[in-house]
Amino acid sequence: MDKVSTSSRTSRADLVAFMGALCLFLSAIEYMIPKPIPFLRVGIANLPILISLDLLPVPLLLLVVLLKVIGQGIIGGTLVSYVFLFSAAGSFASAFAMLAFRRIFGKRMSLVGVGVLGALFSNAAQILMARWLIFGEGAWLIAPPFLAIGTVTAVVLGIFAEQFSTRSKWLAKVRETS
Amino acid sequence: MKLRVFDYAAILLSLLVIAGFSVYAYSGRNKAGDVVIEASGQQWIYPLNVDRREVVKGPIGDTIVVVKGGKAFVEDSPCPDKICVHMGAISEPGQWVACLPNKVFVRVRGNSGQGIDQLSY
Repeated sequence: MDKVSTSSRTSRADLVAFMGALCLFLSAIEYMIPKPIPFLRVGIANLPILISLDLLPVPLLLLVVLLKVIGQGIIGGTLVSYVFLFSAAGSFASAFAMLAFRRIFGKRMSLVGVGVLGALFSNAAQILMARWLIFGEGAWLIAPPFLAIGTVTAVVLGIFAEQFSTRSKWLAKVRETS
Repeated sequence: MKLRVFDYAAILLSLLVIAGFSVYAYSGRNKAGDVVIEASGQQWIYPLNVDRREVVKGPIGDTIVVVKGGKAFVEDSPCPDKICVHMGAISEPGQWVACLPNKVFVRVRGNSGQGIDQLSY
């Protein structure tokens, strides 16, 4: 019995490390995608977080978010700059929002809805920071296109995440063991 | 895969927030500017988002200031050089047009922050 619980603890730790690494990898892929419009980020680095929502307890999920933010900072070269604050604020705002909505709505909302709300909170947090720290009132001007693009990419990513989490055999195995 | 009821609710909420921000950002922007006309020791203030045509009296005649489509310009002035007319339309806070011979000064005043000149990523 004791042995089982230890092994499940290690497999959870493995899962956190794996998801963190996946975030780092996807950040690198994201970085290679050209951006015709400055705000156009697909946000594929958020996929592991969307998928981890039901797999990991809250503290470990937040650890994955931290790893994602650090990974994005390393890949984008913004780790030691104010941009990192924006990234962290957005990611954690969206993580808390997604956890809350997942808990409130449960099976009545798929990962599409959860992702859209997560994107909304992430972008809103970043716009608020831009409002207070950099642009002043001008920040509101970037808000509508920023939020609109976020909604579209969140729907696409949400559909992918939902499909993946229902069909992936690997995920089914992970659910069994953890 | 089928979207569930609260997925649509989430998307709808997102769209509502976008619409709200659009209305706030883009209508608030017009309100941000006023035209201040100074002449003969008097001052008139008009909003930039209401079209109007004002005749301003100066020492050598009437200067005509027009506000149209969020911009202000001097349509005509009795001065010899017409520099004020050629200065064109102004719309951003801090921009100004002056007719020195007729002592008319027109400027745009912003009561909140300015727009963004450029963004770089």
